[in-house]
Amino acid sequence: MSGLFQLLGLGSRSLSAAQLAQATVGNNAANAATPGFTRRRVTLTEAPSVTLSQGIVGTGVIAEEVVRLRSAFIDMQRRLDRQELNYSKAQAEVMTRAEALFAPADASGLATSLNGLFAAFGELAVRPEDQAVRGTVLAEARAFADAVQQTRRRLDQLEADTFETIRARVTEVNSVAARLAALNGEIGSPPDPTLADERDRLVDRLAELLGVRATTRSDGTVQVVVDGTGIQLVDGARAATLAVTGSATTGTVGLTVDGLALAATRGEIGGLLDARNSATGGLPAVIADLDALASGVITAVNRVHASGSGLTLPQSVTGSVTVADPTAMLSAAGLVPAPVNGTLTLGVFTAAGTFVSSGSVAVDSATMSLNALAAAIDALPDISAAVVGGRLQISATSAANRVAFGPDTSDSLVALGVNGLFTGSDSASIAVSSDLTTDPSRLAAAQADFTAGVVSPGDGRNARALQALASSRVFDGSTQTAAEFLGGIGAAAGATVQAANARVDVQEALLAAAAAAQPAASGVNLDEELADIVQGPLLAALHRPELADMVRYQHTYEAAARYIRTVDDMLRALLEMV
Amino acid sequence: MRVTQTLLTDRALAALRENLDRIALGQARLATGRRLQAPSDDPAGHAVATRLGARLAATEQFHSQAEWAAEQLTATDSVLDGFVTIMGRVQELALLGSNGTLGTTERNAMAVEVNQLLEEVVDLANSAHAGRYLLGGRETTTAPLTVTRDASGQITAATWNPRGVDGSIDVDVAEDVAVQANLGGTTVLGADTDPTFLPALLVQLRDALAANDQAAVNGLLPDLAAAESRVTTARSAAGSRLRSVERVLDDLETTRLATQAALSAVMDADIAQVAVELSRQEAVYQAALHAASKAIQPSLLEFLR
Repeated sequence: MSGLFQLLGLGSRSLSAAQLAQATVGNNAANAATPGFTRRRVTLTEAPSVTLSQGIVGTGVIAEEVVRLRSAFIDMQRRLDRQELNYSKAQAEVMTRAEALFAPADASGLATSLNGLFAAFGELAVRPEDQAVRGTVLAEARAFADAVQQTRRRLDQLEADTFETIRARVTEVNSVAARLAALNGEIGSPPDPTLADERDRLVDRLAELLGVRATTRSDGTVQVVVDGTGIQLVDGARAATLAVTGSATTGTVGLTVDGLALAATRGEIGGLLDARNSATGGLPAVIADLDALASGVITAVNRVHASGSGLTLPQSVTGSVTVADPTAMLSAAGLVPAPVNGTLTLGVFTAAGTFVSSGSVAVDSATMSLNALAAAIDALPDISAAVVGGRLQISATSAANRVAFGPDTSDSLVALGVNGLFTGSDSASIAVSSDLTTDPSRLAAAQADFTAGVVSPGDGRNARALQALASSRVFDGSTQTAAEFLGGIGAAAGATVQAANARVDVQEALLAAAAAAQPAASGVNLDEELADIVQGPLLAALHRPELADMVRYQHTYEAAARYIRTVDDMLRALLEMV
Repeated sequence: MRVTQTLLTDRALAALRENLDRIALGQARLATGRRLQAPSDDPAGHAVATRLGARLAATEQFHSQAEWAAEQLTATDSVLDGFVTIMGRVQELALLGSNGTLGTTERNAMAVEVNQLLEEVVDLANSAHAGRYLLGGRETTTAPLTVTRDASGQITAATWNPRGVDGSIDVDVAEDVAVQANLGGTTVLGADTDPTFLPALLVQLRDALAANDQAAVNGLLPDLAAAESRVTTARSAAGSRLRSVERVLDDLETTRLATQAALSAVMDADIAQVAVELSRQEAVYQAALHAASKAIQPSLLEFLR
């Protein structure tokens, strides 16, 4: 009798195992489109046998556990691919915005205004006495300065935007890490499959953002380490805090984990940091190049302009560059370009243009300070010089006289910003000298002739020299013209974007393979699940052989049910006998 | 490999996105006519395009400067033409005046004509083009020749601008190629201290004729011949410079076209190729859409109804 009831128990265990299997399959089908959902299977094992006097008898089937069909190896591979992809993508996105500022010639303000500036110098060379042409030159010079400044502002803005994005992503990392830590506390062992799915999703996100390696412990919790470092982000129920160091547009932006500096990062944040910090392929490289362009043009143009004369000569000129220590030797006063040994020639004319006198100062940049230079110039006939607020001021001693500048082989005038066309030293500060904008006659198209004692209005020799700068190789160790250098800036930014995009393509292909591999293991194929649910020998035959196994749950259930009916019949037969 | 519905959808979407990217690029190239949309499309090409753009701008500027030089030289040439005509008449008059058969009246009449020619010479020497004195050297805003007149208004002496009238105005017509676009005053008429200085000679000739001094007129003949040859030499110099500027203009035009062609080769899209490529991409896109709809739609559900 008890044996028969045992048989009933066996049947009910079979039924519930088959039910559980069907429920799992149903859940799989329902979650076919749920992101991050992992297909589950019920593991069926034979129930423990009982030993009877006649021998050992099985007691049916039990559903041992519900397992998640997920490959940890594929997960790791896919996270690695995704963090590299996001790294390259973030870098490409930032640098694409940077390279757009240097788009091909006729769309770019920089190239157009640079060409326009040199063309205007050419126009000035043939019509030096024409005030309208002078206006054009100054307008072109200002257009160039504006284009450089605007490009710089946009690059600064881009740096600030990148910084803000990094901050936002870091905030996200912290919230994801906190959720992961909380999840670690409640996941239990064996892990709840739903929580395990959520855990994997969070680790995926961390990998996308920062690049991490995750280790699942035997207790079901996950330990997350920043990839390439030993720094733990999440361990058990504890999450470290990621923080950003540095400022929007100056210096280097860094990351710290609980105050500990993080050297290398991948993922989106890594790509953003690289674009924000790298002096080889990032925004600082572009800004440095733009600075080099600006200071190169400023120096080259001012060097020529400083030794020229305009239609009207100034009574007094003050340099635009402030020297912090007027007693420091010129070569060591931090001037750009650093003055060298040479001769500086100055002359004095009356307001009517009659020659008064001229003289030269021998500049020894290593032994002469700004104060000494001023004193030497002051010693020349009819000329006074002084250092006013760190700036060199040169005047005609008589208020009725005017100063004219001759050749300066010492570069002192350029370095001190005396009689220059541009003021400023880099892409942020480049501007047209206000002396010239207030009086375009001061634009130095002519070269004063101290031997003949004249400055002629029809003399365009200095403007010719300015125009010739277009083809003079003054950039990149005297190998490139300004236009070539400018083209190089765009090309360098373009090459960075091109390389990043190429990496994105490669990573996307790799990721496509990895992404295909994971659903292959853990994704849901509706056909399979339906085959599991619905009995269909035909389907089993039509599809892959494994499908034949999958219709078994229904068969199992039916068999178990029939078995119970049989046992029931046997019981009834026994009871009827009583 | 095991294939799931999500995988199919993801792949179809990725393929469609890639297709759309290419179509967008083709469309941008077609709309702007440019192959280079951003430096990253071809970094080396971008550098070349920037350099060629600068060369094109420089060539165009040199072209405008060469045209300006040609204009100045043409204007100078017409002034010199005037001098040559006057010199011819002056020579005639001088020869006639040195002839012993003439009397006071005739010589007086000739003196009046020489005086008239002298005024013309001064006017010509002080002629300006586009607001610039042509023979003033770099002193383009000051009349080069200053004259002194006596009580009757007759010119008695002429002097050049003391600031110099020989400053050469060199115009760059190509990289490292300059042409002098003016002729110094003394090159044309002689220095004002020179015995063959034309205005001074004309003053002497006029006065000699007025004084009926046949010997003096005769004595001026060699100097007048020297003055004439100076003007002729100057004119041929201006003419040959003008011709060389015109040659340069032709060269510049050739350079400009060649540079433009090179720039276009780097920058511009081959419209036909891009258009064909674009329609091919569109066809591929359509095909991908169809394939996606076919692949995504059916599952067993379709067959279980």
